Amino acid sequence: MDASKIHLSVRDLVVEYTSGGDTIHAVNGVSFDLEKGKSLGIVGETGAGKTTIAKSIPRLLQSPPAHIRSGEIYLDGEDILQMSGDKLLDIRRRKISMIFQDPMTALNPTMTIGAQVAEVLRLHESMSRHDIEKAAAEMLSRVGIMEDRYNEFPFQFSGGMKQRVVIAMALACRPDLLLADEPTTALDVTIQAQMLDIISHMRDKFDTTLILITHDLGIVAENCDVVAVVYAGKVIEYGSREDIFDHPSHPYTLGLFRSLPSFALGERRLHPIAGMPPDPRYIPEGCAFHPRCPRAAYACKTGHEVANRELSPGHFCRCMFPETGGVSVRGGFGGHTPDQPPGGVDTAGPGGPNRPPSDQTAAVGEDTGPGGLAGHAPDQFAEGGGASHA
Amino acid sequence: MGRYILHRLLLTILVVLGAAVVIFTIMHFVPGDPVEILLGNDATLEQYAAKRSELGLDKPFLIQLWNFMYKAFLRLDLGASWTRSTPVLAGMLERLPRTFLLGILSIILTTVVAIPIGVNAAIHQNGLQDRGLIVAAMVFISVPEFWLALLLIILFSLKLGWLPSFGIESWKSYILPVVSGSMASICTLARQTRASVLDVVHADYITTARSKGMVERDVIYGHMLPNALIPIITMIGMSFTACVGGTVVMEQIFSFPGVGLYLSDAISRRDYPVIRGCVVVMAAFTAILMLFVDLAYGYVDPRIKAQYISSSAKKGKVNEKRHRRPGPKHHSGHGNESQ
Repeated sequence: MDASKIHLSVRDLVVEYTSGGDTIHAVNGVSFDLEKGKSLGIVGETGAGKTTIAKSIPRLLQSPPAHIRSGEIYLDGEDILQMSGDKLLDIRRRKISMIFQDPMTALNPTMTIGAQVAEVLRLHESMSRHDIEKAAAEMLSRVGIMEDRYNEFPFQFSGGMKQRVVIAMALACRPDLLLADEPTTALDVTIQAQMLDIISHMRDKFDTTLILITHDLGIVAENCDVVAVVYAGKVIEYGSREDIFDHPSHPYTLGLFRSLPSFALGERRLHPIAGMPPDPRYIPEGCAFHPRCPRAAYACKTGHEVANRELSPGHFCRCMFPETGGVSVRGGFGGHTPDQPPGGVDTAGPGGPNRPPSDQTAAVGEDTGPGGLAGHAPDQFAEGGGASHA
Repeated sequence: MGRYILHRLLLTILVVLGAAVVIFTIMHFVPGDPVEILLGNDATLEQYAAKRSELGLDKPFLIQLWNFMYKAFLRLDLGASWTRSTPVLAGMLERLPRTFLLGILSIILTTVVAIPIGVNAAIHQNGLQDRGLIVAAMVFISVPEFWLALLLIILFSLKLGWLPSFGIESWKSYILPVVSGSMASICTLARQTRASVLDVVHADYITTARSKGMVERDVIYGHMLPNALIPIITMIGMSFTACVGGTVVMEQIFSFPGVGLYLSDAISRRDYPVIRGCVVVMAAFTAILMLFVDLAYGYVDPRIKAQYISSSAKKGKVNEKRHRRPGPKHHSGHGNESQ
């Protein structure tokens, strides 16, 4: 991997929350690199530490209770965690934007939406008041909000409209790095597709690096070049989209795919992962996943940290007994991804929309189940994965 | 907006009429004979009867009530004080500005001091400032105002001789009453501010504001405070009543010639016209001040505005009376024209 292209590099990030006398180990040594313009999907169950990872990057975690215990976060070679207050504000104004999970609460209820978008521009650029208002209105119209609603308040907007405003706010300053924390979880499926279209459209235009946090594997398949699967605050599997979707190796990743409805294989029941995610106060020794893992052996339960193994170039897995056969589960998540995203916005990535699918996806694609729900995701971005684990 | 204000003003008239009837009735049945107090113990029965009929107290209750209401509301004549023989309205209007100034100064002092203290305590929750506020609030809320006032008089008037202890000679006369009268409300308001800022301090939109790269001070005063203001405004609004009613205790201690002292003197002398007049004027002023406070709600929180618009559009006028927190209405689309 070309080191000069690395845009964001997270090294051994450890974040803890303290509440009462308890220490919650939310993030326990996360590392990844991301090239400029690429997109990383962070996948995992609720409470796995996804949001904490994202919020640590612009240092938006509320402290207390959160503490970044150790680690480095380099953006364009500078460590954000060591930055002075002013420099950090500048990074937030110019380089990093975040789309928050819940559009219902992410907007200030006593400010007009126009003013909230204009605020971003005011902090970002030195323009006259009039120009800022004009630019804010233009930004809003780009996400499909008419100018005459500029002076309305968030309570006058529906959830989908609010999320558009949140997205407009995040994109208004043309960030280099966009952190999208479950940007579509609160929305219904059609709106989801529209929002993702808007984001990917903007990304194509401004070559934005994206970190997309979600628990929806279908969204990852459509939007991400690289995928990190997070469990109990650790990246347990990391690789290009093809690595993860075509050769899932960690038993947890396999479990995630198996727990999706698989129409293609004629399955009648879901196969959930047995057990519960670990209590983040008491993370199991050895491999954190061992209490739920069907393959767990004695070695998994001892106090040694499981080494991060590189199964193939760029594909890392934190497991002693990874699955190495080419198990494709692409048909399994297919039910989540419509063949063509609605909305009509040009979503074609560098790879072009009609790029022929890889062999493995084709094999499953022929097996399309009832209703054609199992279609695979269109390849929007160049395949091959832009990032690797250093 | 104009229509709403008119509506509220009409309601105000009803409130004032009601207050007049209630205070008249209460004073009529309260023990204590004003004639006896006026004439003293040496008066003869004839003198007593003559005075009684002069004041109109020999007539039946309803006739007395009618006479009072007729004079007060149709002729705008609140009568004259029995003990001072000066017109009540003149007496009120002479004292009202002083009391009003005292009240306004107290509110300004309270607001200016309490809100930053409360905000800081909330931001540094469980920190030194926060604990300091909680302790100070406990002390000053529990300490009786008059005791604090006396201590301040001892220190600043007797020992140091900096400030006058009674009357109104100059602007200095306002300092001690304002400060001693505000201490408790500063603490109460600071605690209220702390509590309502704490409600919003962890809100998602605050993180959103920070993610824009805003300076922390702008986040606090631009995003947190506006959302925390509603309960704070309610409290400040309540203290406006003191602007017209006066704080009886403070005015007594500092012999401050305001409405509070006027009223408390009148009560002890059973000076009915003064009592009734004061209550009527105070009711009117209070109702109008409350209207301003309600309008301020709508200004601060657009949701209240909308709530008012939607509820009045749906249910019509009846609801407006019950709904005490409406705001101005000027939105296009779902205005009040549809009523």
